[in-house]
Amino acid sequence: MNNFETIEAYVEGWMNAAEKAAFEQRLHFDSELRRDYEDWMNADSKLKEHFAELADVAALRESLNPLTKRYFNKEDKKIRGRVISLKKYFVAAGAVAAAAIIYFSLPAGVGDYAVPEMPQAIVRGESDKSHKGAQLFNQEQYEAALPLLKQEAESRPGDATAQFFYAVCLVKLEKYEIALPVLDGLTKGVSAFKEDAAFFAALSAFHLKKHQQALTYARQVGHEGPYYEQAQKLIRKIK
Amino acid sequence: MYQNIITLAAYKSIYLHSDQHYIISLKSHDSQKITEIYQKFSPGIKTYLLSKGADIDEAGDIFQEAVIDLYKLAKNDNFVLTCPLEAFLLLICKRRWINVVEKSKRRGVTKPIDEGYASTADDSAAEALMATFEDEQLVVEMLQKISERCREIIVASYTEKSQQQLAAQMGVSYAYLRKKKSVCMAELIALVRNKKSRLV
Repeated sequence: MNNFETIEAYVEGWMNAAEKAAFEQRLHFDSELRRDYEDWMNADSKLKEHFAELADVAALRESLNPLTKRYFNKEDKKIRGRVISLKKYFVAAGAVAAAAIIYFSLPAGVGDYAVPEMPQAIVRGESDKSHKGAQLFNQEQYEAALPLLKQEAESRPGDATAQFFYAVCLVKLEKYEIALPVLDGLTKGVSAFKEDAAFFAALSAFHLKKHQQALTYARQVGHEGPYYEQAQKLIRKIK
Repeated sequence: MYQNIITLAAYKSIYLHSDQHYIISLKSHDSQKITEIYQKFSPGIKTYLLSKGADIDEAGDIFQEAVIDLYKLAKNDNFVLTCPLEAFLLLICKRRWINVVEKSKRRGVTKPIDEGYASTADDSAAEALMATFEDEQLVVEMLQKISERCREIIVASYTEKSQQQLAAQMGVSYAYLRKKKSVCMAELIALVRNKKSRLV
């Protein structure tokens, strides 16, 4: 018998007491047999688990498919590159002198950041008010969105998505003093918004002239994040 | 024995996170709570995955598989959620996305996905749990690669009640089946070893 036949005879209980004892003895000094035995037992336990759960998992998958389709539909795009250009500030100012003031009051280029799109799925099934808040935010109507997002954030303090978009809305309205503590909480948490919140916290701290704090937040923005370049610009500007 | 029960109960009361109710609901296929998991946690995790380069279908698949992983954990009565569910799901999704990227060697991703990602106390626990799932996934994946006859024998031996009945069904002798099963397991184990050695 080869190793695997012997192992099967042992695990299936086909051995008599003497054969069993001899096999167990061999396991102590025959490293190849021990490795074959361990790999057999591992494969055996994984297959048992897999087949035992197969029907249950298939049933669960069936019930999850429509939810996945609903919450991950093709219309949900990548973080939208809705860049807010400084040009619009220049036009609004209407004069070269005013434009110069705005330019020098902002860190070079850090005003050109992409605003994330608020997932409306989060409020599906919730009140019309909160759904409206997400819609208004995505339409850049921040003044109108703010009270609705605030209400949402206050009623769901543990919901990182609600906190994040409320804070971004505050940043868009230049209410940095209020935005910063909300963003700070997110940077200390473990949500998916941790790094993005660090960028907006850095931006808020910068505008509040808390430069050291802004540097600390900006350094928390990882290379993979959509705000890495902007965070680096901010760091360069402060230094 | 009672001491162990008390210890486990005490452990649970100290470390149990309030999101544990989702784990209990998953176990009983509570559709309302499962919808709530999608409603509350999928937007943030979707944003994270999309920002790391996943497309929307991949993000959906990863999230769904993470919920299934969670369900498998929920079936183990000793599983205790010690951190917010969103954080735990995010860890599973992150790990799954790393595997997708590594498998396809795509997009020239050279920087680790979790670079800049803050580690939590539960990272190592989640990593260990994920390693168990991945091990199972690997065995099942290799099962698809062995010869058809062997696959038939192994699948039947884990799903049929009696090997004698199985031999009769397959039109082979019981002795042949016994001999053949160990050959098939050896084939499967060789493939698993080979795959693992290439992953290291």
